[in-house]
Amino acid sequence: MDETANIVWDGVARGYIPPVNLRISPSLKLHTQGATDVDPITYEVIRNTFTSINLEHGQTIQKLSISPITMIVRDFQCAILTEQGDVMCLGPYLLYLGNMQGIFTKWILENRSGDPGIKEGDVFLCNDPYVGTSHQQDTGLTCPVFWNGELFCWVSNSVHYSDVGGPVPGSFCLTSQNIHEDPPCFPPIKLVEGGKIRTDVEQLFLRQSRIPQTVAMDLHAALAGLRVAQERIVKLIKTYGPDIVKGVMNRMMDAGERAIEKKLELIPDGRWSERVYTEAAVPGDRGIYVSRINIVKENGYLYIDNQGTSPQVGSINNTFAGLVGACLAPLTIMLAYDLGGICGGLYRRIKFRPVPGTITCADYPAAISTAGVFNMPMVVATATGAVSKMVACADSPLREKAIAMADVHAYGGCIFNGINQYEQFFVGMSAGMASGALPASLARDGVDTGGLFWVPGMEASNVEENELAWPVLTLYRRENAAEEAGAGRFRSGLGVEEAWILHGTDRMDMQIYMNDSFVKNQGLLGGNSGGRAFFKVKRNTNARQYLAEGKLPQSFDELNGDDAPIFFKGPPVNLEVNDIWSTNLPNFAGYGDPLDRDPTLVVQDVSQGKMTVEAAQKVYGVVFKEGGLLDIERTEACRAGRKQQRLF
Amino acid sequence: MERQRIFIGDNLKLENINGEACYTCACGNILGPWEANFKEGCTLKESPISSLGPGYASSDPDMENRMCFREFFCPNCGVRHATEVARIGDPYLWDVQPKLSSGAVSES
Repeated sequence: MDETANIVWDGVARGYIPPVNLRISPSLKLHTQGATDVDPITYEVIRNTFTSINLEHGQTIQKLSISPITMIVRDFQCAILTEQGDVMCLGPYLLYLGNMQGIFTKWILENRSGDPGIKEGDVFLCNDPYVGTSHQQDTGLTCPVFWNGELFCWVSNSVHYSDVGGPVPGSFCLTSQNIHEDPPCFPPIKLVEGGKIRTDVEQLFLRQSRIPQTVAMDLHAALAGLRVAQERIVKLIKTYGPDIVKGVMNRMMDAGERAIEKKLELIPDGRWSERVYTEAAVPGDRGIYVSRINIVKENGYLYIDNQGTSPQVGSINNTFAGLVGACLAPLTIMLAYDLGGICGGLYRRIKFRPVPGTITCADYPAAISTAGVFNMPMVVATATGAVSKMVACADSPLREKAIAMADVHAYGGCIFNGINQYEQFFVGMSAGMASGALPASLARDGVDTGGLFWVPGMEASNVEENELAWPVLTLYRRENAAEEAGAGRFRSGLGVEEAWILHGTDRMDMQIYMNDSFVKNQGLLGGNSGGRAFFKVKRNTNARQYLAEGKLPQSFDELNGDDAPIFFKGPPVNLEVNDIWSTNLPNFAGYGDPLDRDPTLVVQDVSQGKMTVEAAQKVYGVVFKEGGLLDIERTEACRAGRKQQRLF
Repeated sequence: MERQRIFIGDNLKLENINGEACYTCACGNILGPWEANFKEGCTLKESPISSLGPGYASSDPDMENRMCFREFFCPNCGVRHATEVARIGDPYLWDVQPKLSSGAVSES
């Protein structure tokens, strides 16, 4: 008998799953009256105004924050929710944070509406993953919008804060065996009450951080975003009246659901799955673990579970909210791509059947803080695989929207700390994934350094911005080759490698890095998997001598020095003045058999210097004549011969 | 919507053959019935991951050697229908089972 069967999904012992009918205190009055006869022009004006308000919310956060991870990379999300906490509008930012705001807002409605109450001018803060965040650093704020004493709707955001405490700078605690060894969790608490910031609560939150000034600025940026969104919605209500505006909100949700229904009609009923492997529950662990997502489509609904996933272990866990967010990210991209961020209708058509006590739906007190760089990309990748195979079975034009898997933990970045060139303690987070690579789809190649599809608004920082913010110099940043990694009938876009050296300091600690022991990405329907993410360090190099001579090193191999042994996940790596290091975001997955690729596309890659002639023949069976022209006859013969060889 | 044929990949489809839902290759070869994993009807090649090329080579061979790269080919024409990075010894992933209009969905 399952001993955990009687544990409720309450956000305390287990991740919170909102019930269909929320238990809200009768002392809280909800505005539910919506007009049903809004004329089409008014509907469109108000609908687009909601989208604009949400975008302005995001732009406010971006402009006022000071952490590069927020300001440049846009590791945040903002949303407008109904009075019941259903997400209506989502921004073009980190997609998996979207519905989490709905989950923790619903928890607040159930658990805070009676005591201490939900009132006009309040803002709740929450970074408890069991209530509804991906990990503690992605702290959420949610703000009720009132009209005439009734709760009309909510505006909310989740922002990655650079350090929220815990034993490790950056708060990603690789060695945690449970949440008590993680940064602190704050279940929903009023940060703002009656329009006034509670300085006691603000100080409580900031006191945990090693960089409280930076976190304070970002926190106030998030509050400003809420303020802007709240004021704009109140103005909208004043202009059109609450019943008209609520009527438009209801219709937006219904219209979104109908649009999703139409898409689902193009997909046959059936069952699809994906399996992704990960490793090292804590540094030094040699275990291999499984993330699995299964989707059943039946009668116009999608039923999603994680059956087959490994039991929760070490620090590689996420909660129910993370599972939901990660599954919704690829579903939003592949099914709701034309809804302009009005995603609420999509969520109505998906039912989750989570298996608790697993690494992708962990029970309290599993450690969660590293989920942002390990589990969340992994679950997004697993869900992408299952969703892609489902969409690949759809009728056109939907099937062409199926895209292959992006990163698993590739992340391609690193988190580091030390004393910077301004002689201040700093925590840096380089999001190498921001350069991205769009994976292959059923209709076309991916896009080289095309960003990360599940963070549409993400931007890679410029080298100069990094060098201004942190004590580093970039030696090179360049695209990977288009060779075996991510090959297919349609190939992945190309990822990027970046090499660095210290500048303005003589020591730095690298806390988080990725050096995959094995490839984790899965190819789509015959395509090659993506490449291996790596992190390399070479110690005691002569790189500075190169720089003194006015030369820029362009590879590790040309420099003297000693290659440092680096495991997938290890203790902090101390970087010193003559060390160089590089991070690699590999190419993502390809689609289809590489031997079926249009040879002219291979020729194009060779002519653009993205692939060698040798790789063209080895990977794609494409043969060139002397002078570089495509040899069609020998290519066809080579491919036919290779397919025959496969049978023996 | 009535469906008597479902395209899965470029060369793989599920269709009604003599009243039975079957996975078929574009070459016409039947890979097996709807009730089974189509991979069971394919020719399997299992290789070390690093054999694919330098882009897959690991700095930790002990870990890498516990994993493999699986390719599933049509046994008639040699086209590659699926690939898997898998732990050695783990079963093939049964990952695709769409349903023609008359079929049933397995909950397994």
